[in-house]
Amino acid sequence: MKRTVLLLLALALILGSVSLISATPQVEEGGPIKVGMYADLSAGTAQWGTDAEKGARLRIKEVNEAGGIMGRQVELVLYDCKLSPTEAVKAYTRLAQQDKVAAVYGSLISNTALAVSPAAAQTKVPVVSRAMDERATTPGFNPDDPENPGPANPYFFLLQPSAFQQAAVIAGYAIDELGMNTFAMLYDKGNAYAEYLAKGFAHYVSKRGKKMLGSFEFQSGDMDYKAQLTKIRELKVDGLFIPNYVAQNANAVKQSRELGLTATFLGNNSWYKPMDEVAGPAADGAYFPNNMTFDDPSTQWFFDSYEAEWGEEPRLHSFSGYDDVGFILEAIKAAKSTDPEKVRDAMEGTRKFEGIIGTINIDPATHRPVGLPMAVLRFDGAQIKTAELKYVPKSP
Amino acid sequence: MNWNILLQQIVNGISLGGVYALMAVGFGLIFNVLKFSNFSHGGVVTLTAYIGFFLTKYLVANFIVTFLATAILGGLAAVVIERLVFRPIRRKGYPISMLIVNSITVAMLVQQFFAVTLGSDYYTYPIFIKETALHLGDLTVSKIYLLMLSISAVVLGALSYVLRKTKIGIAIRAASSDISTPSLMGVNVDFVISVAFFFSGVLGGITGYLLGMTFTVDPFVGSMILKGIIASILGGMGSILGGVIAGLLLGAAESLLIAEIGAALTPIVIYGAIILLLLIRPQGIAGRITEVKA
Repeated sequence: MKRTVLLLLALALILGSVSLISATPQVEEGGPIKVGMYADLSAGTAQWGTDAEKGARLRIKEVNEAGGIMGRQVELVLYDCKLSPTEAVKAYTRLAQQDKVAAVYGSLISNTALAVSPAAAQTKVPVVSRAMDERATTPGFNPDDPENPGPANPYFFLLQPSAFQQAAVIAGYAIDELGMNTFAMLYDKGNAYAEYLAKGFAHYVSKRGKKMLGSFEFQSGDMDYKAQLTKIRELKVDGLFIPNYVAQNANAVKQSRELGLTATFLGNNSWYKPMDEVAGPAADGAYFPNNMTFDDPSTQWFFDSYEAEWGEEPRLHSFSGYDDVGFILEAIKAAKSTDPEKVRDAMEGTRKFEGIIGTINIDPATHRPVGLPMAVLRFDGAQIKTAELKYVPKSP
Repeated sequence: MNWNILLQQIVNGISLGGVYALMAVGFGLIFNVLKFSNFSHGGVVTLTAYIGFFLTKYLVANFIVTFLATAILGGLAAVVIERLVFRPIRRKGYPISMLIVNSITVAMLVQQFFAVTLGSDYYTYPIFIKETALHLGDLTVSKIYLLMLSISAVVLGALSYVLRKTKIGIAIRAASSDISTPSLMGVNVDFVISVAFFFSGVLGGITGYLLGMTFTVDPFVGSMILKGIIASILGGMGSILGGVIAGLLLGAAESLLIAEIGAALTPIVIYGAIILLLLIRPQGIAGRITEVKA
């Protein structure tokens, strides 16, 4: 008896919520404009996904309050892909085929992007994402021949610098601003993210006529890199590039200090918080690139509106979500249509989209942004400080 | 490669080898008594790496106090594991393979527990040693590694003394050669086994603390136990001296190989060499071939 009551209650709740959804006022005959999103709302990177969602919702709220697009309200259709490539493909297919969204905002993780990219090429509903792995946007990319990336996936777009572009930012900064000539690097061979950054770094260094004197690898589970670092110490290089995950980067700098290495550390965007706590003063003097810095005065207004909406401070991917959904809505506006094909065309032609993080110009050949600046940050007294607010390498 | 670098690489390797030796002996101790590979030792290492962190962070940021407390808690954890997981099986006389399976399960359980609860964060011990390196001419010796090596030496020396000179040590050794006879002579075998697990857990606790202090603590820190197991087998299962020699050798060989042929090929060469070595000398460096009596 009790069970029946409970079941009925549950049913009533479900029906209630369904009727609530269908009761949403429809502004025009076409109903709201649907934008899809799959993000990691659970699993290891849940915080990134949730932050991106909050940023995205804030952007949509603002657009709707200003009258929507083409007189229609915008609606976000969101699924959790749980850091799983299979779930991401399922979510994408559902968004494209059942929900009939105009475009999709993909999860931040490269693994899911690599799985969704071929599905998008078939289903032909465009995806924008922050997956740094070049293969998401240009499937034929070969890290040993980066100058010939091959054709872009027509339906996949990247809205931040790719792995090779980020490597060029820090290598360019080291060469032009810090006057470095000789380099070595230490990276996790089992991690595609680290490997692509390392190969991008080496490529840029040799392109600029500087010397990569030693490239050293370690295995994903390794925690002790003293053997490699001892070799690196003998090379007496100006800069040591360490592009791995936080714990590995922290172990590498601590061990470098113990061995008395004098090279300046150069890092990747994983050197951002909590690296300052994990590595402590050992990381002092290091430089690394990041999408943005939080002390940029031109972004302060976003802190205010985000805090008013969510009651907490925005993190990096709150900005990402706000910018990336803004990019999609801008493309819909430019296309004057919610037809995915026309939205895709508009995305490919996007020039000077003003995001908070930076101005995005899409390169039609690669579907990656060109000339998007990054902040260069440095470690000073175990704290992260801004070295350069917006930096673009002198030679791309 | 000049001599200085060669020497430096050997120093690097030996200090890490000290930790391998600690793990080898902690692992070998249980193998000696119960004749099974106790993979749960890796679980104790992971658990204590976190315990050490939380003690230093929330109790007192004092090296000696937290170090000793972690070692003892590691010992107690091993005793509890034995009581809960191994003793019931042993009492019922199930085959040894059940003990092995259970020990693997415990290791995975601990690893997964920390991966789910604390895996997304980073835990770093406070800095106990300010100046990080000692310079002897061209040779750089990391103080933390030196400490690691000296602690390993002292602990293993003490254990060796206890096993040789004390009553309980002799009982453990008696149980290692044959577990049923001592009980006929009035020795409380359950108690002896508990003590063996306690010693093994203390070694695990020390290993966990040292690894946690040297590296950043993560749920997979216990997977380094594999190196300890290799050292243990290589040294001759259960021989303290053999385990120590093999641990140091393994550390030094690893360091030299990584420097010369790279991190990707090193495990292939090392594992290949171990298979070869055991084909030639199955009893390991210092082991005797003992027959497991039914």
